[in-house]
Amino acid sequence: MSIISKLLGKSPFEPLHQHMLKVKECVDLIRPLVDSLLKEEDEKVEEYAKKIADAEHEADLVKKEIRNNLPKGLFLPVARGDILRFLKEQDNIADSAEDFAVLITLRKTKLPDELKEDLREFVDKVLETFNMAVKVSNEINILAETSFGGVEAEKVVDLIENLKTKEWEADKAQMKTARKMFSLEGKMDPVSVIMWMHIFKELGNLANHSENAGDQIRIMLHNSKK
Amino acid sequence: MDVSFIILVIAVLVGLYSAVNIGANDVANSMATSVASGALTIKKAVFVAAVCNVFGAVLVGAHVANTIRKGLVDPLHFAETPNLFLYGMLAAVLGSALWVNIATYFKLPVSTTHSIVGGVLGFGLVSVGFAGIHWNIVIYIVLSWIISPVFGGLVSYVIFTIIRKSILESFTPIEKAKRIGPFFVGIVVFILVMAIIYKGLKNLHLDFSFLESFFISCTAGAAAYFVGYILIRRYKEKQTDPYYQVEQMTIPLQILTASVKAFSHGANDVANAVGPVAAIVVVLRTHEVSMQVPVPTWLLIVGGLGIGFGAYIWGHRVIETVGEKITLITPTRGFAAEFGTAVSVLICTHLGMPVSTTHVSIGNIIGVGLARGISAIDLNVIKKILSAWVISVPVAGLFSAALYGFFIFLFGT
Repeated sequence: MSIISKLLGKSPFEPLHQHMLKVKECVDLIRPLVDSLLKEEDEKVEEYAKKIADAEHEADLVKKEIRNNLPKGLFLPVARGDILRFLKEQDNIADSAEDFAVLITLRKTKLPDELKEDLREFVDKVLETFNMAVKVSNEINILAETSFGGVEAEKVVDLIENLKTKEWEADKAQMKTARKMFSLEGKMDPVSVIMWMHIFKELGNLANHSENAGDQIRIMLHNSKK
Repeated sequence: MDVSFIILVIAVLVGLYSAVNIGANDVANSMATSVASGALTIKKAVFVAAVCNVFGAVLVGAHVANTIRKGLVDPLHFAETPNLFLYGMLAAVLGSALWVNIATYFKLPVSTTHSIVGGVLGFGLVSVGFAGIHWNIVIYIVLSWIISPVFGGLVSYVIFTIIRKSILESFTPIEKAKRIGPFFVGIVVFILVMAIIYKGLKNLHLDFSFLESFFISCTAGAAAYFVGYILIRRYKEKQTDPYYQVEQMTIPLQILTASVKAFSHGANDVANAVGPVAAIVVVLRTHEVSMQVPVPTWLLIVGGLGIGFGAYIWGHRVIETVGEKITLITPTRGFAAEFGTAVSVLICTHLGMPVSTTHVSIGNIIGVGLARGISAIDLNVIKKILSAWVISVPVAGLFSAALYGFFIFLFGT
């Protein structure tokens, strides 16, 4: 076999995008899960939670594969550490989605009717944030093609700015929902309040990790400018 | 039938065998980037490689063959005993072929260039001793092994940085590509023509001076610029990803550089197969060790055809294994890498330096990588190459020295 083919390693960028698609499979199940939750269809909630766990596992496998293909001697257009940290953040998104589903199925915690609309909005904002992160991830192959510079890099930086705005909106929605819940605390049992706080936090984390993934790409772009 | 005729037949056969080997193995390296980028199908790549290798070998191949024939070991030491020179050269070509085969069996990335240089040195050391070797030339050659990949890599780095800064990072990549593309076409043609006609066409009794060659090459380059300009203007912009379109537009340019690279490959590597054979042929014909007689053209043709034949028959097999693994080299990257290789190898060929085309290619791919053009390069490979390099010269030398002793034992002095 030719030495040239040994010289050319496997590109991590397309697999990084593949990993994001797996994460998306996982996160895309959150809305149907929440819908079923709000309709109190417990069986369906369980079913979706299981699907999320499966998708998260698949994303894990892709993550492992990427890591195994990034040995130390590999020379890359961006820092190896940046790639691994980006992968980690991307993977954290799927972890948050799974944790969220687990918290929901752990205990059949009822949500007061008054909060249903707020939760739905909160979930919307979180998913919007995540979908912006997917948009950023979609660009990674083109970034590799343009050597992480120029107009394409500027375009991606703009996308990341949008992503940050979305995350901020998700934060606000989280606060609003939490605040409303505490205004209803007299009607709720304490354990439910604690559970919902945890659940909200996990949803918020999903948005946070989406933002962090975008930030990690920005670091790659910044570092490659030098 | 006398001994000398047997030696001639053996030498030509072994030389031919080496040539076929070179064609079969190294063609993958010269065409891999084109196949990987989708610029050429395997069939076309093999065909282009075969044809261009033959032309390179015949037109420009003599410089390096001369170095191997008479540059390393001074033939004048054998003025009284031309037979010893015959045995020595035969030992060199056999010894290096043997080593390359063994190394290939153990999957070591050895270079035929390093082996043949080791082979010639090996018999030289045991026959005329340390003082009979032209050490200054040996040092030049070893330096060229280091400099050629570095220089080629630098050229590739610059070329890809130009492509990146001016085309890939602009707002209008396609327009920029249309403007810059013809320049590249012109430069590639200039270099190709320069390599062919400057000191190249002695066989056709056309010997241009540097200035004449330069002028003719400039004219050819300018003509190519206009042809490129007209062709590229006909490209209609589509609504798809502009970067993808730039890559598509680069394909013809990449095919052009791939051909020049195959040409330079033939020019430099034919010497590995026919250099020692040429020495043998010259001795047998003149019955003395002469410095003046040139490398016979028919031998370059035989060597070139051998390389072309090897490329044609086995090239596809090697390229297939390459093509499956590489998915990352796009036409712009391939162009930058091949351009650097072709320039570096052609310059070395003209200076009579036997360099390893494969190693130059590796230097160039790393050059493009340093310009952030390639997604992943496994630098561990470099260690393997360096170790094979260090082993090749002494081992091929030992084989050659042993065979030399064996021939003397067999045929007597």
